[in-house]
Amino acid sequence: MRTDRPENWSRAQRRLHWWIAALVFAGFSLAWVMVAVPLRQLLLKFALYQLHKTIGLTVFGLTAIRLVVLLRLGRPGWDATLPPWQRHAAKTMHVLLYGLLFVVPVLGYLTAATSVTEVPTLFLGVIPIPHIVAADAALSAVVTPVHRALAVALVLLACGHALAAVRHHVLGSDVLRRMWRG
Amino acid sequence: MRGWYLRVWLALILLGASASASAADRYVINQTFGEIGFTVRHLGLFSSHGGFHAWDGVLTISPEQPERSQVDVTIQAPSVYMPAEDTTALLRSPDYFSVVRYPEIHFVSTTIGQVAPNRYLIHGTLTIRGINQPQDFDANLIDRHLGPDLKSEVAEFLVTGKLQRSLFGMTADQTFVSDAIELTIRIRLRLGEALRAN
Repeated sequence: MRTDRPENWSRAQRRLHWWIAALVFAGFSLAWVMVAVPLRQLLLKFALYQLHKTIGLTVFGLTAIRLVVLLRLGRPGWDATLPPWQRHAAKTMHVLLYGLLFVVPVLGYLTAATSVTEVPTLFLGVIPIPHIVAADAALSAVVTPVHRALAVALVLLACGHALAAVRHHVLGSDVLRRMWRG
Repeated sequence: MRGWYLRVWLALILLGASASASAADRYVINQTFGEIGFTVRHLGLFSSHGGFHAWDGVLTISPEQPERSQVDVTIQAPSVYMPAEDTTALLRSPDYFSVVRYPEIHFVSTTIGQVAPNRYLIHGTLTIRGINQPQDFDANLIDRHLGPDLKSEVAEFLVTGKLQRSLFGMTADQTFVSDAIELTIRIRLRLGEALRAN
């Protein structure tokens, strides 16, 4: 882990940031669609669920990579003009976002694993991901709504994070530019 | 004598059964001590399982001509189930069992033949959605032990068969749901006084 701060986000960090953001919103939007598709469209419903699971697993993996990259490369310094309370709020939001980027996919995995329908999790639709937890109706009844609620929380936090970045950009800060262009 | 009786019993057991003797050669069988289940494949990738909660039938023993013994089972189609409520509803719909129009599934044997000491082939006619098709089952005696009361003897059977749902007019979702359906029937048959007396 480096102790000195880089001047800017690395290309890898910027790409990971935007890929994860895009996948989170894609997976979240897809969730509403896949649930709404009637069971009569079995094949479509199955395909959408597998795509949603693939996105969730990908988000988990990319977030893990992003955390490793962050620990190795560090992050650029905070905007010196930020009041302490805003810096504290931003740090808290980042921690929450990282936490949810791990927890929501894990809960999604548990939702799939404990479902009584016992539909497998197939990464990219073909690579089976073992369910290390058996189907369990009682556990499923707990993890499914929690997964849904925390996914909503993740998206709301991400929107708040984005709005804050845009606001600072409008006010002349370079926080958005350096994540966009480096 | 005991062996002869067992052979007769084995030749007679087919689709299902807990049984209690109501007469020397007639046994009522039902879901109390047995399960009728099915397995379906999806895209060749995974399987789903289901079953029927309500069924009953009659096992008729013919000691003089075991091959003429018969089993006659009726399944209540609305009792079909799968683990998820929405798939159960789908199975009850007109695309599958159409339980409102065809509330019963029926099997009646025509012949029972022994192929090994503890294995029998059962031939018969299966009726689903009002369509009759020939159907074979493979019945295996897998265990014999004393019942909980330590008086009666229990014979456990595993009966398996395979059918094509399209032959019964169930052609929906062919891309996702396999045409071949595997049937697995487990039966715990309480053997009667006559067998224990010998």
